[in-house]
This record gives sequence, structure tokens and C-alpha cells, in this order.
Amino acid sequence: MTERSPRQPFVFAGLAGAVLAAVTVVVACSTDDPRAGKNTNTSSGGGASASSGGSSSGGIDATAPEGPIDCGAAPGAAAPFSKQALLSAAGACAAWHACTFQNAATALRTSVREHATAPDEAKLTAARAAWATAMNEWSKMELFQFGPAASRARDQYHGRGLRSFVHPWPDHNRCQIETQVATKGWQEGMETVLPGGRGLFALEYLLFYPGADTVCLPASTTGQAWSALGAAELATAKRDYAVAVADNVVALALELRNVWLPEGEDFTKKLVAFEGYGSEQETLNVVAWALFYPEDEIKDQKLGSPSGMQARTHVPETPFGATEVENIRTNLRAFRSLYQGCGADGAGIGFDDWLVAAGQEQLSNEILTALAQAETAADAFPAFAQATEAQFRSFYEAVKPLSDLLKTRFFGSASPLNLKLPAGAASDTD
Amino acid sequence: MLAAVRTHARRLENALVRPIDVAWLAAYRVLFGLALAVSMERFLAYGWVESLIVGPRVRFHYWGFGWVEPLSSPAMHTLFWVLAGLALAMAAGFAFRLTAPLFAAGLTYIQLIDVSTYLNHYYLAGLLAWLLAISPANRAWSVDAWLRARWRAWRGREGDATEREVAAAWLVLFRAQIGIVYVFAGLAKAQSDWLLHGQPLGIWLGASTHLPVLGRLFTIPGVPLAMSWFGFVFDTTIVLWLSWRRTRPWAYAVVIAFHVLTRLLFDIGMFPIIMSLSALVFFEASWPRALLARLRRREHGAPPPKAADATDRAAASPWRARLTRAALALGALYLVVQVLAPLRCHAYGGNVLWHEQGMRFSWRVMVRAKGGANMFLVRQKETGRVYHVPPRDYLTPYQENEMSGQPDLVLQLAHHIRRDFEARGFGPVEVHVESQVSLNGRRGAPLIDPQVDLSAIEDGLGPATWLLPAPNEPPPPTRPVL
Repeated sequence: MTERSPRQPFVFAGLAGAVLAAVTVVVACSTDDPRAGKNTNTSSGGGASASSGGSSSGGIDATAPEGPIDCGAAPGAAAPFSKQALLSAAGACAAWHACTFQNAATALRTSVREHATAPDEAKLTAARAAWATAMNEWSKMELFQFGPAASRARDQYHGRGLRSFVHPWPDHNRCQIETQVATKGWQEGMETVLPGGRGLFALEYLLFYPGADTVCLPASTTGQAWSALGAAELATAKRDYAVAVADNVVALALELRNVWLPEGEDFTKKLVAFEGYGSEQETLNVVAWALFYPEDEIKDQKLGSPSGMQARTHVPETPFGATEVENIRTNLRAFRSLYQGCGADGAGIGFDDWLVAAGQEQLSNEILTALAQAETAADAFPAFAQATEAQFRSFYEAVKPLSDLLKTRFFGSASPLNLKLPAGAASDTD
Repeated sequence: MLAAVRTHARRLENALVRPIDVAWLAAYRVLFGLALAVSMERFLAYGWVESLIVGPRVRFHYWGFGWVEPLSSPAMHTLFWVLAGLALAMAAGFAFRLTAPLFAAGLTYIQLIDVSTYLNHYYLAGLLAWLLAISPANRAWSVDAWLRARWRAWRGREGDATEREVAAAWLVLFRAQIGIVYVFAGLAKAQSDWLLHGQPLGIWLGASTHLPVLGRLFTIPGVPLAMSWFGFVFDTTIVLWLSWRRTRPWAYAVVIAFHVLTRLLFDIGMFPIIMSLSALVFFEASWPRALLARLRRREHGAPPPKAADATDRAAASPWRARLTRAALALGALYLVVQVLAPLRCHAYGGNVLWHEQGMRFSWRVMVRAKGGANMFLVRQKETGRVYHVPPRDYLTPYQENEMSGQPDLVLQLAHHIRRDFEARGFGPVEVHVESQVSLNGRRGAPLIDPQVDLSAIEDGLGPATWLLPAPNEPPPPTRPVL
């Protein structure tokens, strides 16, 4: 037996430490870990404020056609369920809605241009109708907030915040629009205009609001520039900005469509391969989070305050166009197209098929029943301006069972599909 | 009779103070310190310092610890860097008597900030950190020991044999602590959802069907239930197999396989690593020396020098004997508390997975898939007007998810909402809650009596009479799907 060198313990400690550290780092920081702070997104652009809102995706020609394009029928073919098929179906449905929105945006641009060229009441009415159609189409896209359309907060892996440039609600800002009208700052390029001052809300204000007042402070640069404009100049400035915004909306629609086109970014392929998401389950989480819309946006933000059920500030979605209830009706139908299937009456693969395959047919039916109840209430609801608080309350109560089911059983720790709640922060468990 | 008890007590004492090789404890210190350093780094790397600790506007406090608040964001980030450094210092055995208690205190502080971040393995890490901090884990293979040896050499003194040994009680204490975790984690699975219905494992495995080979295996009927049984048998018996010399190596291989699998399937962070290295305490005290010798392909190193018998030492120093007995009594008391804590839920009756009273600190690891929706109803006492208040008006998504199935957290938020509404000029209000909670895939059921004004209920250790009983029906079958 020989006496050890006093340094031998350190050899052991170093060896053990190196091995454990290597194992620990590999296991603990595995590249598949899809949690906060582990963003593997390689796409360009950051959050909402980082995107130009212009055509940058894809790599195909970003020139939008002047007329409608053929989007075909809504994809809703029956097929055996698999998670891959579900992701593929969700992507196909988002692509189809992006296509129909592009057509609506193009029609809106045409109407706005015609009105700007030779304004009259008929052309204004046509432009307003085109806006309502575009808003309706966008209300479907609201339910497809995953991938580049979503904000970074919703889809931390691929979110580019494109949605916020098309429909900035509830962060829209009338003063920002009036700033562009009064100062013509948009002529420097639409990328200089904040999201709250463009998109469908800007067009809504420019097409529907008849007043010549401004909400910007009188002493501000905008306030002073505004007051210096005569009535005719102001009307012209509004029409000019409307054309610029309509052009930008079309560019955004094209970018969104390119996200899904096979010859563009082909995001469906990324979804199916869970590229950047780390795992199939995390991809499904992010896609499913779009289904949270009835809970957060519809129940709480659109109905919470008008019903008197929630003590929160109400930000109307379309305060000038007054299409709030139509938007909700469309939101709920779009929910069905993602949850149940994109085809007519929910044909095709959806999350309900996953529930059935997992042995949770009862929960699937409960959600469909609650959805039908919410749709019925929405269909029967009058325009927001005519509705009483009691009617709002009744509508709120009709939507609540759907949102409760989503929160209690579809998402969260008790989800039979293991779908996490939309989370700003993830962590270890147990 | 009394004499017999005394004899047995003396034998037990002698067995506990019997000197054994310190190598196991030194190795454990190194491994644990490194693992916890990585754990602290994970908090920083994943942004959890901000999102879980500093970011939330409202915090859930442990009963009696409402005064614990987080530091500012820069200070909290600095603290995590410091803790990582302290963990490394602990691993190196550098200024151990200072760094180890500081690390344990820092870890405890972090855990006390917000109950919603409670995890069994953070709690275990805290306990082990404190045990290590008070143990003589720096006696060997440490910078401290190296410095001491240099100091002695400089003074021309011989080494002290006691510096290569440690009382067997330390090994017993660590083995008991780890054993308690495994056994109670196993006993928590002795219930019908786990053993008859294979839930919630059936639900959880559904998230891993994309894994090669294993994923397809999980979709085979009966596999989730079989895996549930394996988990139950593993947890309840692994201590036995690890304690038996003949089965120990095989049992440890199973431990590694089990924890690798759990890490693969669940987001349980450092828990598998902490448990894998903690299970090493069931090996012989000199296992690190044997391992090193084997690595160097030579004879097992010299055993620690035979130290004076414990009885001799006690006889030589009566005050030391009293101190030793006091320490042993403290250790025994600690273990009694550790055994009683998981059992306290039985004092409340009912299903602990539902009412959660006695759930924390009881090693009920990965046995419930529970979540729900809570809508707070704030009623103005003067006007009778009712406002619906969603929790997310106050909480982060993570906090809301954690709160949804934990009634004491719901109660805390109810009190916060009352204070907030009254401060905002709504006058005196009552706060009720509509809760729908699902356990292991069952339909949602109310967890909290909606008639009760939660703002008038004070949290405490007594049975919560404002909770409703758990649903009786079995969980529905849930199949993992490809």
C-alpha cells in the first residue's frame, strides 16, 4: 500500500465533476427543450415592432395580383387521425384562410383606390362594404394565430407579429392614424408607421369616421398640423393615407399567404416537421393556443366590460364600422374550422378527432355542444350599439361554458391531450 | 427492562457514531454541488429568474412567510450567479463552512418567494443542501482539506485520522432522507387512479408518442398501466434493492434507466440527476475509493486509518458524548418530521390529490394531472353588483395554472382581489369563486364552495371547510395517440 499524493482527491473530484457536468449539461440543456429562453427560431424579424409589415417572406415574387386568385374549396377531406395529419390540416386551413383574406384585401384596395381617385358616396359605400368583407375574412384569421402571423408572445419560436400590422386591436391608436394623415409621415415608407396606426383599423377610421376632429393633443405637432388643414385638404389627406394603408394591407396579406405557400415559406412543412418548436407536442401546443380566443378575446375583451361582468376598460374592436357581433360570429366559425375541421360544417381533421382517438369523445362532444351554444347566441345577438347590458350578460354566459371547458379540461395540467395553457413562462414540474 | 433498553440504546449509539470512510460524503458534496450549480444556471439561461421570480405582480406566500419578497431584477440575477458560484465552491470544498450554509440559505430564500414555484425536487435540493452544510463533507477531497494538510505540513504535524472518517450516522441520515423520498413517492401511487386506471401516466405518455420506438410502444393498450405499476414497484422497493449488497449494482442500473426515462418523458429538470447521484449513498461508504482504484487498475486504496472507538472517545470526553447524543437526537427528530410530514394529509381525510391539504413536502411526485378554471366573483356589499374577475388580471399564466388546482393559493388571490377592489374605490366587497377543476382527466367539478366569501376566510393549518368533496367517478380512459 502506498500513501496517496495529496493531489489525488482533486483528480477524482475533477474527473467526477467533468463527467457529471457534461452529463448534466447535455440532459438539462438538451436542444429539444422547448421552454422559455430556448428559442431556436431562425427566421428573420423579431416581435411585432421588428417586422416591416411588408413583403419579406418566402422568396417568391411579392407582387400581389390585381384580381382574385383561386383559393379552391376549404380543405376538409376526411382522413385517419394522426398528430401529423392534424398539424397538416391546421396548416392547410390557415393557408386557405390566408388566401381568401388576400382576395378580400385586394378587393378592398381596389375600392379604396377608386374612391380616392374620384370620391363619391357610392364609391365610399363600396369601399366600406369591401372593408367589412376584409374584416370578416380577417376575423377568421384571428383564430389562426400561430407561426409568423402570431406575436412572439404567442409563438415564441416563429412568431413575427404579422397579425398586429393587419389588425392591431386592442392596441390600435386613432391618434397615430391622425398623425399620419396630418404629417404625411407615411410617405417615408409604411415601415415608419407604428402598428396601431395602420391596418384594418386605420382603414375603418378613414372610411367610416365622418368627423374632422382629432384626438391628438392640440398642442402636439399632429394637433397643430391638423388644425392647419382645411376641410378639403383633410379629406384628401385621409383618402391618400387610406390608399397607402390599403396597399400595405395587401402586401401583408401577400406575405401571410406566402408563409403558407409550398413555393414560399411552406410553413405547413415546418409545422409537420415541428421545425424550431423542439417537439411535436410543443408544436401542437402552439397551434392549439389559437383556440384560446373565445376565452381571452371574445369572453373577456369583447364581452367582459359591456356585459358589466368585468371591471375592465373596454376597447371596441371596430368602433366606427360597428361590426363587432359579425366579427364574433366569424371568430366562432373559424374556431370550429380549427377545432373540428376546415371543411363545411367542420368536415376534416381537427382537435376533436384527437380527443376521440384518445378516448375522450365525451369531452369532444361537450366542447362542440358549448360551441354550438355560443354560435347560437352570437347569431341571435343584435348589433352592439342596440344591445342592452342584460343581453350582453346573457351572451357572455353563453360563451362561458366553452371557455371554461377549454381552460378546465382542454388545456392545462388536466388536459387529456397534454396541451399546456398558453404560457408566458414554462418551468420544470414536480 | 430499563437496562435492556439502555443496552440497546448504547449499541445503537455506538453503531451510529462508528467511524466510516468519509469518501462517500465528499463525493456526494462534489456531485451535488455541480448539479446545483447547473440548476442555478438553468434558471438564468431559461429566463426563469425574470418570469417566475421577479416578474409576477402578485405573489403567493407560504403560511407565515408573507414577509419574504424578491430582490430587484438585477439583484436577483446577481444572486443566482452568486448561488451558482457558491455551489461550485461547495463542490470544491472551498471555505465550506461558509459557502455551504450560504448556498442553502439562498436556495431556501428563493423557494420561499412564491409558493406557486414549489416543486418537490427544489424542496429536496434545499433539504440536502442544509444536510450537507451541517455535515463534515469538506473533510476530504476538498480545498479546505488540502489547505489544512499544507498548514500541518508547514507546522511539521502529523495528519489526523479523524479527517478521513465520518460518523456512520451521517450515512444513515442521508440514506434515510433519500429513502423517504422514494418510499413516499411510491406510497403516493398506491391509489386507484394510478394502479387501476393507469392515470395520469396514460395522459402524459400521449405527449411523447413522437419518440422513436418508445412512442409507438406507449400507444399499445395496457402499456401506460404496466408502466404505472412499474413506477409504483420501483419507488416502493428500490431502497430495499439498493440496500442489499447483492442486488445493489443491478438496482443502481435500474435507477439510472428509470431516471433517464423520466427525464426523457417529463419536464422534471434536475430531479432525475439529483436522485441518480443521491442513490449513490446506498453504496458502501468507500465506493469512491474503490471506483478510483478500479479506474487505475490497482488495489483498493488504503482504508481510512482506524480511529479511536466511539466509546473510548466518549469516555475520554464526557461533554463530547453529550454533544454527540444531542446531535443524534436532533437527527432522529429531523427524520421523524420527515416521516410525519407526508402522513399529515391523513389528518384531513378525503383525497389529498383533490383538496391538497398536506400535499406539499410529502413527495407526492408526478401523481396528478390537475387543472381548472377559476373565476372570481367580486360582489359589492352595498350595491350587490357582481364583477367577474379572471385570475390573469393579476397572475402570470404559469401562476394561474399552478393556482387552478391549489385551493390555498385561490384563497390568497381572493384576499388580494378584495384588497385591490377596495383600494380602487369599490367599497367593501365579498369575493367568491366559481371553480371547475379536473383531476386525472375527469370532468371538471367545483373544488371550492361558491357560496363562501373567501375574503372572510383566513388561511391556516386546520381543515378547509370551504372545499367541496372530490368527484367519485373513476377517470375516463385516455389513450396515447400517434
